[in-house]
Amino acid sequence: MENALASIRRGALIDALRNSNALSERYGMSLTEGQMQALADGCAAALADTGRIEFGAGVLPKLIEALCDSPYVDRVSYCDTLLAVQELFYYFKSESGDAFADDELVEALERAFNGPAQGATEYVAGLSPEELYRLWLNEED
Amino acid sequence: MDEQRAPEAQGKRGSQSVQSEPDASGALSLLMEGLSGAERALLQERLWALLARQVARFTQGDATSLPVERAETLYESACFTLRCWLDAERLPPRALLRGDLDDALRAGWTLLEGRVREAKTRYAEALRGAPPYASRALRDTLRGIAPFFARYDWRLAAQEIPAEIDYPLCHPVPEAYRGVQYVGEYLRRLLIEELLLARASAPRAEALLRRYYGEIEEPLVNLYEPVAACAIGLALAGQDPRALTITPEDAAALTARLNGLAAEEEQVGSVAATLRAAAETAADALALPMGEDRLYLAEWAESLWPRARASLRGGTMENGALDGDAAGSDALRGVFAF
Repeated sequence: MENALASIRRGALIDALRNSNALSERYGMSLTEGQMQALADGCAAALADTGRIEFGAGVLPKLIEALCDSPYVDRVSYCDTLLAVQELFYYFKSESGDAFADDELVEALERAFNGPAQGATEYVAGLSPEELYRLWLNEED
Repeated sequence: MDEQRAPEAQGKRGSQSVQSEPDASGALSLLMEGLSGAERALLQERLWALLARQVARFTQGDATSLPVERAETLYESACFTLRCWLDAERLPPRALLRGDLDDALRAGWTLLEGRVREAKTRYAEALRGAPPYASRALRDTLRGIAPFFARYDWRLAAQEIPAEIDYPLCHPVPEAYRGVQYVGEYLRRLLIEELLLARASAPRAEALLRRYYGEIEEPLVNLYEPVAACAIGLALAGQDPRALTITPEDAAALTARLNGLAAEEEQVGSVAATLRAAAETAADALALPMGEDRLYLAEWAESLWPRARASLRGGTMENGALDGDAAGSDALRGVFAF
């Protein structure tokens, strides 16, 4: 039964990724079917690692919308960047005790990635939730 | 960080002696009784979709993911609420395969909200009805239930029991009971016990309890059991149940009666009717109302028999003489509190 539910959720995620291609293609970015499967696997692994459950298509479409026009992303690094940022999303979500709303965290990650990190996901990974929050807050001001 | 965004239920399951840890699989199995494999799959899919809508509703669309533990609590809460709704409507689990599950859940919430109100009324009665010689355990439990009414969340954690309940009942609430179902049933049973104690003479009941337990303030002991058993014993001995003292003469008569019952059991197979009649006599003497109070007492009377029979078979009671030093006599003292 759990497999059936996971299959339903995975299907919803893949559908959402296909739809996201319509947006990202405007910026020259698109995901292949294989990359979509890899992102779905990465999503499942990140959720398992952080002890979380996700409903519906999840956060990946929002991450795509936030990062597909980044100056630090190209066709080659696009999927790997999404995989890494997706993992960071769930990490910070849990580490912050769910203090960030989804949209806030996506925005914070986008600002960190396109700002001080200059496209280095390792830099973003080195931030504390508080630093990420301050980054998001300062930008708000 | 904005602390108001922290999960609402953190710390909610702090101290509670009647734990109900999230167990979504257990809650789910209650909804799956009698369903085929395909029906189970369909119901689980519908419940999953319901949970997703719940998450969206309660996070106001802020989050699409939750910690597993939190999701399990929400899921279990929904399953428990739906089970209560099915039971109240006398519907089979199959009813959840059609119609709007959100409507069913809302109806379940309304039901639980009403049960909280009922439990609150019972709680007020239980506070008023506590005997003057109430033990620390009973007083602490009455205090420990109070937070339940402020902290119980029938929408997000309907299965949880945010209360400190230690006082043991004569007939414990089944462990399968959860949330307000448990607290309401606990209070219902406690009120029954308090009423019998209230109808008995307080000095006599207290004296009996101190004779029986030695000390009643600190130990985690039930106050109803010895008083009810003594009243039943006196009824069996043909004495006034209100006396709450079994004299040596009463004990001899009781032993003779019990020996007769043991023989009767060998011949006709059951002594339940006799024990229930004794409970009825005791209930009449204590002016207990008809209904659940008498049923509760009758069930206690029946439950005394295995111990009474065992003490009779101890070998010291066959001649009907009560010997304070005899093991069988001691055992019988333990059963009927003399």
